[in-house]
Amino acid sequence: MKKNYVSHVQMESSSLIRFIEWNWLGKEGLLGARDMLVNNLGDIFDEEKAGIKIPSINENSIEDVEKKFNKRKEDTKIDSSVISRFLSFRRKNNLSSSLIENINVGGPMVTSEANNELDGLVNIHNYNLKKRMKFSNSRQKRLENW
Amino acid sequence: MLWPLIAYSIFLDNNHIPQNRQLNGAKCFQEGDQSFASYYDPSIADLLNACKISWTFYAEGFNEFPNSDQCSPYYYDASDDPFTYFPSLTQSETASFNFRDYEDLKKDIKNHSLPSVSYIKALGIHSEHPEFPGSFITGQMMSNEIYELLSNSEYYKDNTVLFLLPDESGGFYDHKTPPKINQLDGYQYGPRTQFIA
Repeated sequence: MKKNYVSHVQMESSSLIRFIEWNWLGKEGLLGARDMLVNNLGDIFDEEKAGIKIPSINENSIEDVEKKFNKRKEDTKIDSSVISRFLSFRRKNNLSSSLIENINVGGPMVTSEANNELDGLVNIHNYNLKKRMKFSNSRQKRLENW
Repeated sequence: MLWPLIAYSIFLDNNHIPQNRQLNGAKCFQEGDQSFASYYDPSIADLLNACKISWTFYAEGFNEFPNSDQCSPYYYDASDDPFTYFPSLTQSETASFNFRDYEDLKKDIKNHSLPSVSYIKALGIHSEHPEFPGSFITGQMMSNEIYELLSNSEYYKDNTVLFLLPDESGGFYDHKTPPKINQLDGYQYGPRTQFIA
């Protein structure tokens, strides 16, 4: 570690996931989500002491994530109606602003209406999962493919 | 869990309890107060399992197996352990190794048997949430205990990195404007939280 050092590289909780992927799995962004866009933890490590340069600044673009998302959507065969409902719900409610009703001490608060809608989506998804119990077998295969 | 919800950074742990009431740490909750939920999409723990990298979530109070009267913040609460929402993890062959008590962490450091990746979670009363009397200092004492255990271990002190990561911001004011809206999920970041390595 760099001692008594304050990093000015923006990091978030998922940066830890990205670091775990880099260090133990040999590849970053395997979950194809935030772990593809956030910065890795490299900036807080002393390159000489660590003996290796750990990546810091993310190089993926939002387009890379969408590409991976579309591929993964096909892989996992998530009911497309669930996704389109989710996306139209986001559009309808102008999610990028209306959900951030209160910037509270703990961060953005989700409105109760939005919460109920999301609960509904999760229930639909869980129902779909029950309908296809072979999910867990294909899961191992998907992981291997990654 | 529905994958867009994960990627879009929506956290449901304040509204959902893992799986069902039979689960360790979930007996305090009644259906109706909060709903039980199981998630199925792959997480970092699945990736570690698939690649045979050992990991453990050490939760304080886990081995007490609290009954329905023994609740958070004084007893282990399963909703504080994110991996318990995933049946693939709680029912895996390695589950008894992956989900363990904070006391086991101390033994593992002593016996040089730590897994590659360890998560540690304190009880609510040791979590530095300001509403619990004395919890700020008790949380710091626990962080210090872990730090001392590692730095006093000849085996671990030079090859272990410890991250202290609060899940919420503790202040009421930040002189620096939070980063712009995240392009992935459209949410704005809140005030900064400290992240110590």
